[in-house]
Amino acid sequence: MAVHPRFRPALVAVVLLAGPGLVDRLPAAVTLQKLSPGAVSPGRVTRLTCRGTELETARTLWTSFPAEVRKVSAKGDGAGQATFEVTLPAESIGRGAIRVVTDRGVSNVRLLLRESLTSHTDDRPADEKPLTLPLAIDGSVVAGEPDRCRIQLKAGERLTVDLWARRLGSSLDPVVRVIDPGGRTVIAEDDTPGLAGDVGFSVLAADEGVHTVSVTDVRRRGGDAYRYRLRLARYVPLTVAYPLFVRSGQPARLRLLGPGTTADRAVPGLPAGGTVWVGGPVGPGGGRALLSVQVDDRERGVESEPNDDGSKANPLAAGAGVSGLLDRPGDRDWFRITLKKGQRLQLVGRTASLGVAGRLYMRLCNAEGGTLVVAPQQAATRCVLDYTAAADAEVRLLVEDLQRRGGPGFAYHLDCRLRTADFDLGVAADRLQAVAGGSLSVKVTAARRDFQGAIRLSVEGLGKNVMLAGELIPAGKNETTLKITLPAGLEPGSLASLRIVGSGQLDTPPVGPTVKELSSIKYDRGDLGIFDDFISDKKGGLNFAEYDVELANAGEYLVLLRYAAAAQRVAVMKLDGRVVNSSIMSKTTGSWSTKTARWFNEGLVKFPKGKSVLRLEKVGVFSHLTAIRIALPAPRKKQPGRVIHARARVTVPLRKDLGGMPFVPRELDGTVLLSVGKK
Amino acid sequence: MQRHVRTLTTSLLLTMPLCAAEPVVSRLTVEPAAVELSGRRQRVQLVVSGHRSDGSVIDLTHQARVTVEHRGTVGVQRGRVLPLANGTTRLTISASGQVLQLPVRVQRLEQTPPVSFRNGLLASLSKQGCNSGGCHGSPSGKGGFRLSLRAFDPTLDAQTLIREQFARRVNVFDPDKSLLLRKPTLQVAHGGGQQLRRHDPAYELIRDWIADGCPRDAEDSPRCVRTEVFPRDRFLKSPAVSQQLKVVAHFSDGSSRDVTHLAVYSSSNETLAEVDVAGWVTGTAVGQVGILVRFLDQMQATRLTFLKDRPGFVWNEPPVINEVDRHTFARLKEMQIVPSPLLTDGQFLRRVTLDVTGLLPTVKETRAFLADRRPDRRARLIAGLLAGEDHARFWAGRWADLFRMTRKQLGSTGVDKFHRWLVAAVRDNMPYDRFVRSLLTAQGDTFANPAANYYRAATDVEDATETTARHFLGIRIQCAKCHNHPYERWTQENYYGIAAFFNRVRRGKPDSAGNLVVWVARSGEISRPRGGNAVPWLPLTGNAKLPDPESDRRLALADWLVRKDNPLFARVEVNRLWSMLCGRGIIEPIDDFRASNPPANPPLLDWLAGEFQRSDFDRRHILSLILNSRTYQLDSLATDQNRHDQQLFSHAVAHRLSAEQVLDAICQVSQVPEQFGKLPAGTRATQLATPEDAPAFLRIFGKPSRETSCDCERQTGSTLSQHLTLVNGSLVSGKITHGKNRFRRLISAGRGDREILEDLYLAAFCRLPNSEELRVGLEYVGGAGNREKAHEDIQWAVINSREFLFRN
Repeated sequence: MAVHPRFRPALVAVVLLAGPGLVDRLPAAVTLQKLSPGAVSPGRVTRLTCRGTELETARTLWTSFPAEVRKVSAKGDGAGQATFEVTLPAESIGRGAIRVVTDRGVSNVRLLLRESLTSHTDDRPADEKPLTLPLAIDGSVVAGEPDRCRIQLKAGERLTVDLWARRLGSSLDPVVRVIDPGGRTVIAEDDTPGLAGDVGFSVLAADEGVHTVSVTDVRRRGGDAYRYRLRLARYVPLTVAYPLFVRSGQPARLRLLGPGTTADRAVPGLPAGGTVWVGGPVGPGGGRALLSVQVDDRERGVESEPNDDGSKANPLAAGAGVSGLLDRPGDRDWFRITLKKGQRLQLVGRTASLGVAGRLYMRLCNAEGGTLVVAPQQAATRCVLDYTAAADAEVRLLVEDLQRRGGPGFAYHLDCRLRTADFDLGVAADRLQAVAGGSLSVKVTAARRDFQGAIRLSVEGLGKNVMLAGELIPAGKNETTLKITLPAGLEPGSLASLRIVGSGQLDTPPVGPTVKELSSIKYDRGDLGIFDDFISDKKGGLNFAEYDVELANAGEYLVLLRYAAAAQRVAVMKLDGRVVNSSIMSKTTGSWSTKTARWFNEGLVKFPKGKSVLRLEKVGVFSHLTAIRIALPAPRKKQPGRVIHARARVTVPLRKDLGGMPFVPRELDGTVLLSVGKK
Repeated sequence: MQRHVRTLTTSLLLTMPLCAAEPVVSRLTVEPAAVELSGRRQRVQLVVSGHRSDGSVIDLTHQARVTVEHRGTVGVQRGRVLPLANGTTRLTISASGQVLQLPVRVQRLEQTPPVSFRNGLLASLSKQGCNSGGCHGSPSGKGGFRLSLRAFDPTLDAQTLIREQFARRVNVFDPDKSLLLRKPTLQVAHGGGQQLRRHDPAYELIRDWIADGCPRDAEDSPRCVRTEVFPRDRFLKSPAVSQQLKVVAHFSDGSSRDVTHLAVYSSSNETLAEVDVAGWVTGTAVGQVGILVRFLDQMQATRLTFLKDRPGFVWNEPPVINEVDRHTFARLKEMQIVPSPLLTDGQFLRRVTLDVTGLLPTVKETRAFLADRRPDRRARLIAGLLAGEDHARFWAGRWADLFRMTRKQLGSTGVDKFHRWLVAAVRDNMPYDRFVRSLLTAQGDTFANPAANYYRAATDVEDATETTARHFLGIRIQCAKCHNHPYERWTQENYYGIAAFFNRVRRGKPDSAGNLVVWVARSGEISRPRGGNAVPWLPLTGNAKLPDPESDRRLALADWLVRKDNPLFARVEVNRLWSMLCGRGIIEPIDDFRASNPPANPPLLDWLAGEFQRSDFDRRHILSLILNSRTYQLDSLATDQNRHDQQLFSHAVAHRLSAEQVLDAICQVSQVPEQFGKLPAGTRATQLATPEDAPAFLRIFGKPSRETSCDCERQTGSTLSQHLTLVNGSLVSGKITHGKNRFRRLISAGRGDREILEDLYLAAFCRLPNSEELRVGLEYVGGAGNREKAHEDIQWAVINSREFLFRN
């Protein structure tokens, strides 16, 4: 039996000593393809059957939620099956993730529900007695054919349908129809807003009799990958738990909102870093709405009405987060933010990624109501508005639904921050395997935002003695292959949750002694004569200038450029053909006259010993460059400079495993599972 | 230029002897009731009508004798009154034994105002065709002289005529020496030949305008705001086959004047009627024609119907099932055309099943229907078919064609969601106004709201404007994007006025799943090509009501579109439904509603449109009305009495099955389904969501690739490739040689050859083979050495038969 850690693996690195088995063959293709049932019941023991490949050496389950797991059996030859008994605490509800841990490695992740509805399968005979509410059906659709179940309803009885497919990582894009005893379609629903492509609704039966609920794929596809869990109950549907974020470690009171109904729910202090699930009131016979809330360690506010016009705007400070509610069609929420000249404001609004309906329209206005900037509609996941203050001023933000909708489901969360250079990291695998004392390699990629410096990677969760190679993503580069050599203390058969964290020096080091200084290339401008002090080409196209730089020693040197610029003319710097900085010459001096030229530090560049070619290039004309200096960085004395961090995410491999799921659960997204084998 | 021609046919018609029962003219009327002439350039056209004892009206303008009481006051030529001297007088008009008097007043001859640049000079150039698309109105002009097309840009024209080429085109000191007059009169070489004569009214106007010093119009000078044409609608029964038209222009200052001599005329069908430069129409065959009358940017049309007694015509009083028949038969009776007889039950079953579901009925369904003796069996069948899923899928496909539903355009999942939405709309019989409103006002994620794919297919403002006008207003407005519509009254102003409704529609980029968001920006105006922001405009009824400058303008458009006083919305859709069932629209082409393209049966179209509105835009109700009518159920075989009729629905239009229908029919008759790529087994060609899933067979038979939003993209004709595909293509061959096809199953079940042949005929033609067909078939099978090969041959022959490939 394995005991799940008391803390979320995404939050704290944990090494699981998962029994005596050994990983003796690497790599192994351990896959988890099918789960039965599709849910485990809180407060009870659920016998969970896992089918897949290479499961015959299964030992236990890894779960993203607290649970006791006992292996019942494991068998198979290639196509394997393992059965476990899973015991959940009584109040454990919501979505969760599991993996099968075997001697040959860890399986892919699968999502399931934690809830108390009785599970049925979809392979019952057609003439079987109609089912009665509440219940849940686990099934998968066949290509071109609807999956049907028959349920007995009384006239006026509520039928609440909550179909989970996309939210559980299924390939099914579901369409649900309810057909009354007369064969008439009562409702046919495809994508319900806020449910990531899944379906949820509630209807009242007009007639007593056997109703049919059918499930199909909108593309008429089918197969094992097109699985679903269809929850059918009588509870009053709820759409959102508000506010959308609560602060970790502090009890909170949530409002559960639905069409024409609200309920309150108190939640205790929770650990940060993931999603917490709360249940609505239990309906007749059982079953309840499942709603999620995000937990982190920031203080956040709640929008307060009335704020329908700019004069009643809610104050919003940089660094703050706020949950808002567009509680009726056409509702507008205004916020006011005080900025200083030059500050770069970034406002990030979220809806669908938090499981709520709607899509935001955000517009930043000046005090007079004039539009400063409208947020572009680029991604469903979030709406981002960037603005750089031209002067000290108070600006006003309008938030409304893009389609001017509103209602109990139309909540949003808004983050207000001052933008700095930063980056995101991604890992190419969500699970790794290595032999004890051995090493493994994994690709780590960086997505940079205004930050071009080097990113140094570290690994958490494997102790201090872990050894890394390739841990530096050089300045201007976007990927590295990180080689991790496991510390001696990790026993074969153990399972570790590790996190890869990157850090970058935001400020460039102070300039030390000059090593070399070069004049800019003279350029014959033709009709205007020869100019001594800048690179320019009236014809446009790609312009460049190359300089031979010979250095006695290899190492990191600062490159400084002296130039004049009335407007930004950002260029690229290459060393021996490699991009080392893609945003040089981004500053202005107020004029194109070289009398205004100043030195600008363009950051550290790693030079080889001897001769190399430094190349500046740009499409179109350059800022007016007069000189180039190569200098040593001065040693830091007091201030170490600001450091920025990012945790590597495993979104890409998880999404692949989860049927292209649009929003990968946050609690899974920052952790890589490592299984350790024998030498 | 209009032609002064009279065809031989006309002469023959006119010289036909009057029959003994020719009704006599009992009364004369003349239009106008009084003549007012002001200034020496004004003309007034008279139209003299004779009212006959049978209620019919004939035009006597050119036959009437007109005498002037005070000679020297006015002159009269071919019914046109010209001023000669100030004063009052009376005209005495006599024709067909009837006499009528008309008061006349002439005044201010000495105060003739200068010729208006727009209303006189440009009207004259338009009249002579100088600014037509083939002459100086082409984009590059002709011979270095470019005018705006049909005078839609007077500013440009003024610059060209007065200033360009150092003003050499006009000679204000000696107007007759102006190039503008010498060229078209061929006094100097003119590539376009002689387009003007000294006695033309246009000559006088052009010369006077030059003599006046080539004045431009003042800013507030009156503009023509509408024109009136008399008569608007008239039946002309042979031998009276000509009609003089009269055109009056109304101006922005409230004035009006006769512009018959300056208007431009064209016939919608020159094989039926011709019209000369003076507005005199002459019918050359029996039928209905629209005469388009254009004065500057104003267009009007008059509808003339030419009738002729048919020897031996006897109306057979066909039973009238509903109002559709009442209107159709009334028109046929009027035109003396006898409708074809009713279809047999088997033929009806095949036709209606194909039209409603795209499929053939099964053998079981055919046997049951042929055995049904209930009098309402046809109505029951129609109701059942319309309520079925096959109907929804088949008719959704037709919309999918128009909405350019392709994976390339809408993404893989987007196509399926939109297709499902369309199928549900047909299945649930979504009221048409709601259907259109859902599409036009759609926004949001295209996955969550598939109707928003309307704006994913229509990728920009122009596309949305033209697609909407085409589908829901039946207007081909794209011409008006660059210049005023040459054959209709639509102007650039109209085009950009509609475009202003769509200008704020924005489309995001598709995400990784192919989902895309459509939304409406809160601001933004569209600019007219010649400057200034376009104002949202609603054709025919004035401007839109926009309560909030940030509101979604499309809501106002949708509100207007579905309003019951919109003259186009309901008519366009019932015409489309009619066309889908009857093979031809009451107006044809179905997306080309214009004054010069009149309906074949206006009362029928009006009634159907009214019924559509009364039923709250219930498409299934209209389909049911048409399908239940005797008109729909007429045989496609023409009789001697109606062979010549191609537009009045005296007999059904036989047409080849659509590509999807042919393939599904082959699969049904052979009982070997087609597998379309990775789509689920059992998917039919008529259910395919996109053309990307279609095999080559469907493309050969004309399935559209959905590149355009036009019905015309579907090819309905026959090609050599189609014949070769059917005769020796692998698809047909595969079906007839398949080990478990229809006849092999029957052979395996121990059925005899007669049963097999009967089953095949019922499957393919919804009838049993006649005795000759049965004899030939049995002899062929009996005489062949290989029974299965013989049945293969018979099945091949059936599939390649006209009866199979056509919907009769």
